[in-house]
Amino acid sequence: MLAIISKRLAVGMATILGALVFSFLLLRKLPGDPARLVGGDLADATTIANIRAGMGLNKSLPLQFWDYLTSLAHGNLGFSFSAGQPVTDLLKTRLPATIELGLTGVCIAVVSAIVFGAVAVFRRKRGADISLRTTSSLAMGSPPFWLALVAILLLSVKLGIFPGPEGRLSPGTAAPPSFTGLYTLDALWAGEFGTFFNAVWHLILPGFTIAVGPFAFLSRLFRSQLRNTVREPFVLVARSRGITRRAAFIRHVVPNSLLPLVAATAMLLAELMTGSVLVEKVFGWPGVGSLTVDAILQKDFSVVQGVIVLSAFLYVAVSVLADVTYSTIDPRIRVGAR
Amino acid sequence: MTSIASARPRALRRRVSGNDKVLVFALSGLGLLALVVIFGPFLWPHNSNAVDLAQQLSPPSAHHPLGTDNLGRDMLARVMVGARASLGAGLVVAVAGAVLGCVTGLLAGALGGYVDTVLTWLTNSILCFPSIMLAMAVVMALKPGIPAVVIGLSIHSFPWYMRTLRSEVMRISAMDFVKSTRAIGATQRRTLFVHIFPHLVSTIVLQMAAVFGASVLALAALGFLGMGAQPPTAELGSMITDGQQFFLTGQWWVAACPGLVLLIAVTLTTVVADRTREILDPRGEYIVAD
Repeated sequence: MLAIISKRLAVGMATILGALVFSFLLLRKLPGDPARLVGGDLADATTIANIRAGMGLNKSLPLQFWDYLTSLAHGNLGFSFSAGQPVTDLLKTRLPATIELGLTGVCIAVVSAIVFGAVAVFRRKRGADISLRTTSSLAMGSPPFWLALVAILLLSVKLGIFPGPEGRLSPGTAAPPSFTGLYTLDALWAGEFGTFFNAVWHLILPGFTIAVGPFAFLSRLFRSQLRNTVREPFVLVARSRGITRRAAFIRHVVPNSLLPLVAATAMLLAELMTGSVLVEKVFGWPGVGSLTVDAILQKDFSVVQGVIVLSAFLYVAVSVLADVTYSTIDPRIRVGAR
Repeated sequence: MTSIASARPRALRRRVSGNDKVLVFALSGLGLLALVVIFGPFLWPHNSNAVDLAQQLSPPSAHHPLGTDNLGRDMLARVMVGARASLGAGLVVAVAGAVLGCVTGLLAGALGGYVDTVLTWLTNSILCFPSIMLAMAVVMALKPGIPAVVIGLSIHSFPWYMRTLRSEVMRISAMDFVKSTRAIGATQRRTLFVHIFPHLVSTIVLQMAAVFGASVLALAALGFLGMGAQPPTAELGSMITDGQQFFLTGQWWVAACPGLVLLIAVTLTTVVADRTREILDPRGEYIVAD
């Protein structure tokens, strides 16, 4: 077991290193001069040269990369010239919003995928299966930012059930005292139930919009997994012991089909942290996604690099964790572990 | 096992010609869409960039079936031209990714060893960025526009091909019919291209369908953020951005039409890919990871 973990960790580290090199080269090869961006159009040649020296841009590329790695090791992601503060601080303020939204989305997607998938396979061809496949095909094909717009138009502007694109809380509602940074948890912790319901109310619409794509993917995965498990001999054995079809399905088929969902959900979590860029933009959600979009439009490359590194790190960390969890739950995987 | 695998290409031909109504419907829908997008702009009398300020934001009518936008431009003409840009770029990404992925996947699968290790490491490093983030970074490094977005998305799509092809090559290489061709003296190259590659075609095509759908959506997303096609070029994503402000004031068609075209195109592709996969693999063991 320890051998598997250490091997996975080593592969993960190598992957992160590769990702760092890749993003470093991509962004360092910008046609524009980063020093010119920081200094502004009016700065004279000496000022620009000073800024270049200050940023370490006059060193050779490998040296610059080494500098970058060492400062990264100290938890320093660089300085954002457009926000005027370190990228790390910027991320610290933005990350909780994205995490809260991402978790909501993933929870909605996983629960609905499991419920719909199970019902569809249990009912076989009778309508349920057909409607699940239609819904998931449609969900796969719908552009999330467009869905967000339609949802705001119908549910918020026309019907007024949900708040419009105003961020995490209604204007005028004070944020709960920061503890985790997740407004829902913080509000519960502080006992401010009004704020809690306000935060939840603001989470529902963007949460559902974010969940659409993952739901399509997960429900397909779960459905095909269920269909394979139903055919396994142990299900036949259970049935031959006189267990009803429904009981065998709930007690044996569903739990044994959940495993692939663990890995897929983990990957989705890692993606959602940064994959919610568009939905955040439409809903005015103050998370990492909208931060990135603004940084790109302003060519603030240290922010972009910081976000990219963070997402790569998250992705690798989550996939290592998922692998380890996987082989803990299912010993069969340990045998074939690479 | 061997006989089943060898019979696959023929089985595909036999079963696709069968009467799967959904598949036939989705395929003809896609065909119709392709025809409209390719030939429509030549036949439709309105120009996609012709400004007509007297006709600003007019609702759908006989003269303008999909209405007009805030500059009085005909929406039907714009949607057709925009879909051409979006779907065409998606196709380019799917093909470019397939070519890159085939080369790397075949190399990694057939040669193994260090080549495999290095290629797997490289592609894993690419895959840990979300596709939209990677494309945005490329846009930032180059300049906003469809070419930069296509390059970014192609870079992100080829590892998916490579992964599946690599494992498929390894799986098929271990089969008896490959071993026997090697035993009667076929070179490794001949075995790879003449005997193994034909079995990969269906996998590649299915993966292309998945990549196409995902890329069309990602392209539109980047267009929506203003990083794709630059005005006045029509592109579905940027058209939704343009229509966004009128959506809430009642002129829904400006943003709704391009979104619906996106929805229809990608959904039909998904359905076709799904059905074909089921025909190829009735037990449903094959899942495209995307």
